[in-house]
Amino acid sequence: MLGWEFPPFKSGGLGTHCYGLTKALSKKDTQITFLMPYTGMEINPGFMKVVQVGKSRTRFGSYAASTIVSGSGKKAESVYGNDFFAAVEAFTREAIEAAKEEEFDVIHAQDWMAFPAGIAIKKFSGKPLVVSIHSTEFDRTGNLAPNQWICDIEWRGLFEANRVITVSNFMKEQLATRYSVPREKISVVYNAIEAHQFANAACKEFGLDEKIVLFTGRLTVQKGPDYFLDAAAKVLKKNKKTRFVIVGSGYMLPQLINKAIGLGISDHVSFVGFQQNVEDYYKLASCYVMPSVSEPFGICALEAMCSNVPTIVSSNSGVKEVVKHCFVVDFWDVNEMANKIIGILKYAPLKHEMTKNGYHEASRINWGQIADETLKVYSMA
Amino acid sequence: MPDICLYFHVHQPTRLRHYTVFDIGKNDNYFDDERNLFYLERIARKCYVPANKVLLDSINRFDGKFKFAFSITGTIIEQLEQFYPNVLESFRALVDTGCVELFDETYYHSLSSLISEKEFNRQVKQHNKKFKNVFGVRPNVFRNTEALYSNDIAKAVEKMGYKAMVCEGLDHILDWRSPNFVYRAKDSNLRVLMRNYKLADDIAFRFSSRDWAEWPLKADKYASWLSAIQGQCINLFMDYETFGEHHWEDTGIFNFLGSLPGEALKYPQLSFSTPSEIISKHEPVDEIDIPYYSSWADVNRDLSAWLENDMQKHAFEEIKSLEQTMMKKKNSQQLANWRKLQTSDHFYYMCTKWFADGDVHKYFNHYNTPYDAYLNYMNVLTDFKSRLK
Repeated sequence: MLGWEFPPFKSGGLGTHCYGLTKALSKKDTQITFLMPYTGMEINPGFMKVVQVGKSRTRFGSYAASTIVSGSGKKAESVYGNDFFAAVEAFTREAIEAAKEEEFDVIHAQDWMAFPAGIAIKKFSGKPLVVSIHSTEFDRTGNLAPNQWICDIEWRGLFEANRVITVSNFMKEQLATRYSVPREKISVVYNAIEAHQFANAACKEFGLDEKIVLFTGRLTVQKGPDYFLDAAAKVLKKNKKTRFVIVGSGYMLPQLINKAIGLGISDHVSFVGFQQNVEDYYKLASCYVMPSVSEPFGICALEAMCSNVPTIVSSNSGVKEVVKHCFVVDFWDVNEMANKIIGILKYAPLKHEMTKNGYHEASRINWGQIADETLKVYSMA
Repeated sequence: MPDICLYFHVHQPTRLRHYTVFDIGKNDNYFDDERNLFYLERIARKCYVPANKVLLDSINRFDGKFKFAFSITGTIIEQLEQFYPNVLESFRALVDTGCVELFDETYYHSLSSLISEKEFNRQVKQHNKKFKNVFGVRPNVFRNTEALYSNDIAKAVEKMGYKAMVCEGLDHILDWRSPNFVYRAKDSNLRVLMRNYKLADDIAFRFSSRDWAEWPLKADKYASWLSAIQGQCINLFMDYETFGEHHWEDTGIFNFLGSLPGEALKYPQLSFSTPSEIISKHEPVDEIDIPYYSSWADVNRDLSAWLENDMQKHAFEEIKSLEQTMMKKKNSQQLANWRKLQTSDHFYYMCTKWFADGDVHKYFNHYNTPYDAYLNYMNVLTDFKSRLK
């Protein structure tokens, strides 16, 4: 398997996904070697071999952050490489060399950064290539300014792959229409979470007589944090005792702070930055909102539901295909978003039923099923 | 020599419009005319018009030998009066043949029998008056919303002067007994007609199911099943939407409806009778004792389709608690709105049982989730209450 990040080194959902999937696969008698760029951290999950290729720490980066973060935090400067495209090319060269040392039956490349390496390994080994696509360049840029170089790599990977895995029917349609992938080549395998991790999270206190409405995610146009603030302003007109907590960092932070000030709600909005232990924040929340402009899956919604938080998800998301006990709203319809937030805060039976049924539903989804479905795709490749 | 007792239930609710928290205090127009018209147009085109025609043809063809019963709620009559008077006219034409009996019920298809006996009586009287005006008929037989039944409800119905009432043919109540006889309510003279749910649901639920061993069901086969039955009456009660909406025209449902009378009347032991004829012909064989609430809804056949989860209970308690205020205010517009908000469908939309699996609760349901249904209802109710002060 080829991937770009793996816990404890991660910046988004991809690392978490790779961890959950490989762990469940290895329980089903699958031998995995995981190739990823050098991180400078020790990564040894215990159930599979992780090979960090290359030597330079500055080469490593998470795409979404590295191309757009420019000095918004020290952490970003020191960890994320500046020339992301060179890093992808280096990873491709080094992964090919590393793969020559390994024995394998299937190559599985996770997202576009690993596609060039996957294609090259397929060429020299003759083994089938499966690619997973968790988001496309169109999603990440909110359809505004996709990078053509990345789109080309995505297209090439999807073309060369024997099978394509994606995380929702919502994504499948995008791949079929935007990348001309034949629908019969695509398998939908949803995401899962480790439910117990959230059910047991400790409760944090803000120490205020306010109800907390939570947003988590990178502060990028894809995740729709600006719509969250617009809805917040509308909620606060009706209900002053509400606090809007935004967990995550990203290039939009300065503009979001300005927007909160402009809306006159900065007293009620807390930007807490990127947090390792998001589960603590779920425990604080009375309501979770995922207002993404385009969300291929939206694993955070499952995490929130497993944390007993009533959840509102964007209609442009994959997660709404697997859970029904949540509200679905158009990301641009901030009036309706506010209506639903207020409803959850105001009517106790609504919160109670959504919490109870949402937990029951989301906690049933597990990696074991996902691993089974992935193995099925391997056998088709 | 059992009598076939066909009875069709005709109802559409007055649906609420999308009403947000920002509408509270600004807008007391709660109902969505456009959406109601959308559903009404569809149901009229797919069911009422073609089914009424088939039934009228059968009545004319069999010269008084084909009979059946209708219940028609006040809310659907109002909608037909407003948008499709010619469809209402076709119902009237059926009633005028003398072969169609009408049942009374609560005007608003409401859960008022769970609010108070007084309110229940008021809504039944309102329905009775409407029937008198529209059809010139005073019914003898009563059907409560979704066949809601208990000993107490039966007593209240008897007190209002009705001779018989509809009930689900519950296995645990009937036990070894057959639904194909006339029964009596506990400690009462009120006759109880028990629905033969197996035979009724062969048409209402299973007719178009290709997984069913009996598919395709033809009228001759069905008539042969009926001919094998021993008893006084075969109570085939179902929603009228069965014809054309639950089963679309291309399933052959209208052919089935049209050929059933002829096929059944080929058997000398079978005949069609109205419920009133049946209860005057047959003495009750035994007593029905149901101390708790039962209904014909879902597999549970109890109140749980409307009043199970916290949202449903809360919404219902809120609307129920307004009775005293409403009676004091005596504002006819507000009274009508209060009662329209009691329509059982609003609570049905909030049901979370099996909702994720996609089932019959989705039918005619314009909400994405039960949570949307509750939120919308509570926003409306909050506004409604604020205007009572």
